[in-house]
Amino acid sequence: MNEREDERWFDEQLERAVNGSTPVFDAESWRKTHAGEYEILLARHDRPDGCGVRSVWVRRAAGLAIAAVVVMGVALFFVDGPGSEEPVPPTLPVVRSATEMMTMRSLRLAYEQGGEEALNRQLDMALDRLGPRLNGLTTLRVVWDLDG
Amino acid sequence: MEDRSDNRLVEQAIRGDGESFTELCRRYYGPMVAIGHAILGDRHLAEDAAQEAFAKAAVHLPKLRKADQFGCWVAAICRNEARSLARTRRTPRDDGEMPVQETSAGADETGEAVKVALNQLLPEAREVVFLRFYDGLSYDQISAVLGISEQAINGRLRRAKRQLAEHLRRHGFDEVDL
Repeated sequence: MNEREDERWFDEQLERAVNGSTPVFDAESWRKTHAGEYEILLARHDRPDGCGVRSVWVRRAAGLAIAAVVVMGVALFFVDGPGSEEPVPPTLPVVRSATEMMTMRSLRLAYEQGGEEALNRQLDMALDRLGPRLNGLTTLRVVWDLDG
Repeated sequence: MEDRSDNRLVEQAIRGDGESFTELCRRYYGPMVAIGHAILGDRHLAEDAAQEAFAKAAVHLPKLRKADQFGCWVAAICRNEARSLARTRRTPRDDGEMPVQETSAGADETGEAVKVALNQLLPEAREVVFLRFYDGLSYDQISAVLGISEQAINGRLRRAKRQLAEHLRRHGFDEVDL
């Protein structure tokens, strides 16, 4: 025998040894003998897209995102929350013009936050914005003038 | 086996479509029986293993992450079922040795020698031989359940056949030359 004939003969021997014939799946019989498992499969039909390959990943991703948000929230609460002993730096009033800086509300806010020093600083800043002034003119005098 | 329609069937089966799952079972029954037969050495037991594999697949189908991997996935379940069945039946197959089938009276000497030679193959090699010669499954079908390329299947098959031929030559079949 040449090589090709030899291979064909060998394939025939293997087919006979394996002794395979087309196996036919009997669906009805399988459903009866595995009714429980089949019912589990059918039960997913009622769930609105709850068991798809993609939805499994979507649900996992959503779960992870929620968990991350919760962890971040808890972490921020402990870092910056009411239990923190870190003193909160005073917020300086944001003023845009000399006029705004000289309102009673603005002056009171500066005084409450920083006392006389803050009050004087704000007045000086307001005067700087107003432009050149006479030497020896006191802040108090300017305030008098502004308040009328 | 068409990948696309297989994927569609898998997605529909995951959503609880019984008919789609049944169609998948029909398509993959032959390869699963071949895999079971390679391990168990018995056609009826192989069919039991294949059916049990489908039952487990029905329950765990939502765990399948890639629809196009259904064949490989159910084949892995089937192998486990067959090995489990082999242990239950106390057939010494889990280590790769297939139980020798009973020989019928008058069976030809060559056929028996080939069966014995098949027993000597490693499980992986024997599986590919069974898949190829079990009702002539195509390389495409085999690829779907082994998850390897057709070229790799061809190489694995050729190595298995060389080993078989070598075994036969050692046992007096000098004419086998592959």
